[in-house]
Amino acid sequence: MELFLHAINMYRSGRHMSKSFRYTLLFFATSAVLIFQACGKPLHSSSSSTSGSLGTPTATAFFKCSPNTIVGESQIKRLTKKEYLNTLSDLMAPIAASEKTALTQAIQSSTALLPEDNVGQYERYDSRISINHIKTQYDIAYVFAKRVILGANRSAFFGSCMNTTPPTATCVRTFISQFGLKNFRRPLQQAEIDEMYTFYVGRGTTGLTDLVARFLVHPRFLYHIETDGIEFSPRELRLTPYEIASRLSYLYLQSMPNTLLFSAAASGQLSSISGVQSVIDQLFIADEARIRTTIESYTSEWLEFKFKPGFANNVKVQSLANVVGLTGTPDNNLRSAMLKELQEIVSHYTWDQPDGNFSDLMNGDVSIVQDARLAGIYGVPTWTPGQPPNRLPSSERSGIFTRAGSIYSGTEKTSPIHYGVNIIRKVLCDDIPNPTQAIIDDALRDPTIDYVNKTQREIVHEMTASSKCMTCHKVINPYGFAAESYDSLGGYRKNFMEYKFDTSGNVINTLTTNSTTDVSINNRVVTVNNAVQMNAEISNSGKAHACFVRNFYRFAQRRAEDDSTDSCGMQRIYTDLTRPGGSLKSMFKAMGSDMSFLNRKVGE
Amino acid sequence: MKYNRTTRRLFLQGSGHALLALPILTSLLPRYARAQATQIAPRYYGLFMPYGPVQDNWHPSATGMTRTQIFPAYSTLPVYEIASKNLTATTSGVSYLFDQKFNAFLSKMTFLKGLDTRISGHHYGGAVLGNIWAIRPGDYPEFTSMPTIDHIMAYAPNFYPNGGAGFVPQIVAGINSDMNHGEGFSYGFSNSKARSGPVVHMDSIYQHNPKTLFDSVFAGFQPRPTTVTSTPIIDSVLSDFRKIRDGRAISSEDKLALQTHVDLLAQLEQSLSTTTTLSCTLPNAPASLPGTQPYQGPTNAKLQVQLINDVIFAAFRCQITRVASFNLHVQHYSKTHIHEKDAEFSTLRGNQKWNTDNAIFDIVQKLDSFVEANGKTMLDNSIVHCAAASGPYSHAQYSHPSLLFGSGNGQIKSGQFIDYRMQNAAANKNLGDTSTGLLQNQLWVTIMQAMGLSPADYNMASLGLLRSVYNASTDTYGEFMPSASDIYEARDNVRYAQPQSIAGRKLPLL
Repeated sequence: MELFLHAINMYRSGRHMSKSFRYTLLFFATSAVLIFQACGKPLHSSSSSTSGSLGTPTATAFFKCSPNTIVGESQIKRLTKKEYLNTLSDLMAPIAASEKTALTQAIQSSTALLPEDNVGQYERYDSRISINHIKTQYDIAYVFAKRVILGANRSAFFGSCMNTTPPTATCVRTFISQFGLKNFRRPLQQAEIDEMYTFYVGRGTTGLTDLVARFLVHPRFLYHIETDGIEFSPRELRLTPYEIASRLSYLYLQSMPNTLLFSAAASGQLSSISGVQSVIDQLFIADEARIRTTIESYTSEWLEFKFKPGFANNVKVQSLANVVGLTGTPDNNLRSAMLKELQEIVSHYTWDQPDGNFSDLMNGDVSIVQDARLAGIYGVPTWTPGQPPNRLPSSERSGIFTRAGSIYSGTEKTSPIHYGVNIIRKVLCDDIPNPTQAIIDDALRDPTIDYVNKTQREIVHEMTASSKCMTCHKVINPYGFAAESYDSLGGYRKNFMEYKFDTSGNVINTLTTNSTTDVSINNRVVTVNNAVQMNAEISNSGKAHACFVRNFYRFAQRRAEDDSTDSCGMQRIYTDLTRPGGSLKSMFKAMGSDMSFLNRKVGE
Repeated sequence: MKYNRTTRRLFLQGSGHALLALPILTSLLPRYARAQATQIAPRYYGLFMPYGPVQDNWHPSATGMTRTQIFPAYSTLPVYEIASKNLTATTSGVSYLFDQKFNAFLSKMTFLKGLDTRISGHHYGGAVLGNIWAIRPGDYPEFTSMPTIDHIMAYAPNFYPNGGAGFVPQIVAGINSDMNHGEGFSYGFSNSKARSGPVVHMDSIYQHNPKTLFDSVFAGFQPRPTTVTSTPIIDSVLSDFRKIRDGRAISSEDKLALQTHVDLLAQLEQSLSTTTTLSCTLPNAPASLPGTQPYQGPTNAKLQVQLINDVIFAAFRCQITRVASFNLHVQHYSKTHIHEKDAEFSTLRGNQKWNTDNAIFDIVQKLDSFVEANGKTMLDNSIVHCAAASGPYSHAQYSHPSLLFGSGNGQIKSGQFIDYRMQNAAANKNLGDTSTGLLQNQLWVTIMQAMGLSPADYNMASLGLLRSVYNASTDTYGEFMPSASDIYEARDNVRYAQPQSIAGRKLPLL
């Protein structure tokens, strides 16, 4: 495969070659491409040119910015379930904490019926709307509306003037303006206030309840509507300050704009990029806790925690735990601790380590694990907040993809295939198709494999040896084999010891595996001894940086990127991440003030 | 027999089923349509506490009250100013008895001070619900007992639909520790349905045992469906969506997404346009109390009170009745005679606190937990009328502390503290605790009107009773009221202001 890749590169760069030789190369290259396009296909072409302070390739290596493109087309999206619930919670802010709890509990039965957002990698991609959304939103709107008009909530939520029966027109109109601002995320126009007031009057004794409910099922509440901007070129809108405030808010806070953002929109501060940058700086200080939560959400979606398996509850897993010295049974608590660590590592390098950058994320050795069993797996003490982080044995682990949460398989056997696919998809942003069920069944039915006397690496190799499997697994397996220095619970294998168990959980064989493998990174084949080395190589290539930028760009834009129109934005953000002094935090901030984020291109 | 402490929980579970039944059914009924203009018939819950004096512990502070002149339209009447203020929460609550736990209900509470009974009679049983002749039976043989307002409402024509078939007109319950002083608190015609015959204490239906009460109220229970016609807000919401769908900067894909939403809304609207019925399932019965005594002793009093409240709440929810009265008579009457300077006053104060903490808070919480079809809680749609026997000192027949919860579905302006005593000192020589105020009669009329009665429904003269406390034929004295010279004995040196009170009119500011 590497030869064919090399042939492609030779063809690409071989303008000085003779035509016939180039065609010969093209023959090999085409064959390779046919295979390579099916799996391991780079979604985005890159060259091997490198530069920059981190020794990583320049932005142009990964992002081809076409002149005069600002941003790709985007579709109007509804609020995600998380955004919707956070926004409702923020709308409850005026009422007392105990009442807020009571109201949250009151809507809980309905919120449970609201469909989850699970189409695509990011929740924000999911734009499906079903009758369950509609019904649940209505139910919640009325539970909410009925509760806030009751008791002490009434004056807290609406203002004391609403205690007069009937309230004055001024009182109701003031409420419409104030609640409308939060609800529409922009000031209401006079005609909108008039319409809402007329509606209130027309509903008679239930006017106030209906008014609140109508706001809560209004399209401007349920959707991210961005239609008010100036159209500076056909179908390209410059977002208004209030639309920018809303975008920033849902990007960083996953909820409606707070006072800082509304004020910035009202004052015109969000009318310039420098103003936006300044507001983001303030936001990252004032709302660090909430932004930390958002970054944690992003991490869980980037790494697709939803597909992370639970631990199998069987004697083999338990026996492995016993053999490697893990206390207790591998369970959901351990799984949660493992995944939480991944979020906390991203958070640590974003917030707690000054100028923590993506290379730190890929190579860093800090341990801030507070769970005793997970710390035991790493062989380090548990960390106490406020104390300096512990350090992992550098030869055993470095970076987020050598942590247990990235490695564990959930069974007593490692899963090089899953690990390899994750590296390809989430670290390199290359494409890899899922195998058909028939291919999987074929592989699993192979009777010739000696499961007892062969290492998992050898078994996987044999299982995927057929030509139809090898099409993809030639790419996948090497990445996965690099992690064979860890067992399936995420522990480091001393002396590469791999245990085999019978159905009663007895150790029936002990084998020696290895994690040395040849991997292709940016079209360059590198021999690595383990995942630590492999991830360092990947990090040095810059490709993972680019992939990380792509992922956050997707998260922010609520859609997959379109390289023909989104590359300029991603290029700028990549440059920020990899510049001297660039950091994870600066990259997260850069997204919010990038041109691609402050403008919208309407589809045809 | 040992008392089963799980009884309350079991009953509540059963009651919860009934409670759940409505939300479940109302979830079929359009919540979005719950805002319909549904007519909710108000309920009345009268609670009598035969203790006093409690006034200072009962009422909020007078700070911040402003004066309002009443009777402005009647030039023949003197200047009469009353004081009022809106209730606002404080950390410790508005008063000792109604402490911070009542803060959540302040907008639904109405404290009334300065409402007098025109007859001095020491112990006021039925007097606080309207039968002012219930005091000291036999002291005034020339006056016939009057039906109390609970009974008048329960048997008023058209108070219940279909002539009241299938309804329990009224619930009379209580917890009475001293029957020797049980002058009673609820009175009615011996022939209730015909509204005729001698007026008697409602012993025949009085219940103190929650289980017995439940059996009598829910005997032959048939769920009563309520038809609700919806007028959903969907039309307006559809319009909101269409405006954006057809507006600027919308792609064909956006249009499609919004159109999907519109289609689903239309689908929802279709399901809303149907008429829906509500119903109620039979709650589980509470277990019997161990003994037959009306007062089950200090240990079980709380349970007894709250189980009775549970039954009343269930009966309200299931639309079996609209009227309940509760005699909260936990301690011995001897405590009534304690005065503020007495050493035992703290005991009386504690007893009063027990009442508000365990009985009043319990029922208002229950009523407020249930949201009805008009979007208001049952408490909003009800009138909980709490009244104490004595005014500022023991046996005082004036300024009985009163408190209303709820507004009878908007019929009463709640969230206020109103002092009806004449505030303009020049016209009243006896300011302070003995200041004269307005008659309680006006409160009874106010309540009955809020419950939907018209003067004809409570015109006792037309029912053959010469003396009426509920309506006056003139705008001055109310000629059927006893005159001061007949029975007035308490403050003979006072120019009593209440002749200016007009018994048949609603209380000012409510």
